[in-house]
Amino acid sequence: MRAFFEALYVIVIGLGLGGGLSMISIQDNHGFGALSLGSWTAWPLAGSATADPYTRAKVAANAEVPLGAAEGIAFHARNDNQNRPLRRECIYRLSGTTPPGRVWTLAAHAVSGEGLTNAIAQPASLVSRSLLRRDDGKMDIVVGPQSVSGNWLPLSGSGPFVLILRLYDTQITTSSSLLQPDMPVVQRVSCAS
Amino acid sequence: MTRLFYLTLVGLVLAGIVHLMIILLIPSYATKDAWTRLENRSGIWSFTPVASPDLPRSVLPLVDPAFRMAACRFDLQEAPLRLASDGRAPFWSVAIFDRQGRNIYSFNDRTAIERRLSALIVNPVQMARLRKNPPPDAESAVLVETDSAEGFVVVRVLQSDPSWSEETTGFLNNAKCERYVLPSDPGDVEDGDETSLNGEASQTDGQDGSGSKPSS
Repeated sequence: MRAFFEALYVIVIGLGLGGGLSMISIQDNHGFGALSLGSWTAWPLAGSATADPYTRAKVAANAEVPLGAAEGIAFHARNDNQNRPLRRECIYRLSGTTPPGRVWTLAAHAVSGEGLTNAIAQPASLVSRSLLRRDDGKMDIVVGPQSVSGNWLPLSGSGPFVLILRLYDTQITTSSSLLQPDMPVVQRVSCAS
Repeated sequence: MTRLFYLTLVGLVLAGIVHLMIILLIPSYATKDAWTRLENRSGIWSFTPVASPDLPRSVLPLVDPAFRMAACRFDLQEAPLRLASDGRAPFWSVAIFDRQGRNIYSFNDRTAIERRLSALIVNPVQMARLRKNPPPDAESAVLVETDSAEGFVVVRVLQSDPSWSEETTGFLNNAKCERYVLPSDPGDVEDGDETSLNGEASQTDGQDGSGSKPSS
């Protein structure tokens, strides 16, 4: 009887801990192969044949189609610059510059991966080509539920969200990581509740 | 007490093994991966829309809402894959994935020849045949060699605002994902849209090259 409970103990630890650890590590925000810049994190090797097993497992389990090296790179932000989780009820300001690339886009996604929609139920995004820029060439983007003049990325619903900045045809993915790219700062302006 | 410590240690080692097994096996056994989701949408050798700036939901998660996207599955054991589109767009890119969602190759309009979408995806045997007898239409195509048999292709076209909708839709409607008949095959058929041809049910029919296409 004692041997039975001992075996049970070992199996519960093995399966429970092993399974739980696997569940956690294929969620979106694991640190393997990650490149972090301020609030932003990217997985440069996600779209390559040399991706690590964790990234491959995550990609397969979530049915993702990551950007290939010649396509671009996606930076995810889940927190603001003070490390508070991003919330859809809040207003955020993104300012600064982005690394060089042919074009970039900014979109808000639910944590499950779906894009957040605007008032007419279309996925909302901003494309670098149609942005207004300040005199010094930098940009200001407001992310929030209420419309504002200038560059505005709408948020809808409530709860947490992920900001994704995707850089296309950029040298970050094709050259060595010697250059430290500048990413915009995500600042919380205010919160509704 | 030492025994409990010992048992915990064994449990932890087992947990490590279970964890590694799960992580390594997920890509092979995931039942809701990209391939399976595409399989539910359309047959093999045929483009299916994946995401569009006009639609609230995409077939695959975490895709860029500013892009119009289509995907197509292929099986190189049947035939080499020929990708082509006549359309023009300010930015497009192509990613080729294997069955398990690993990226084999990617390119964009600037890395393509004459900024046209034209590519041949072949396995090493087909590559050897191509080298021996290079067909003229393969010269302007991006050649990709891979060991993987099954896989899928994702084409992304940037639609920076709705006024580009016509171009981006045209680019993807024009896009072909078809079996390429190697030149030394008897009864060559080089183009022709075989995309609507029988699904994966009849794997041998596709390469007979007789040009018999069911009118769909």
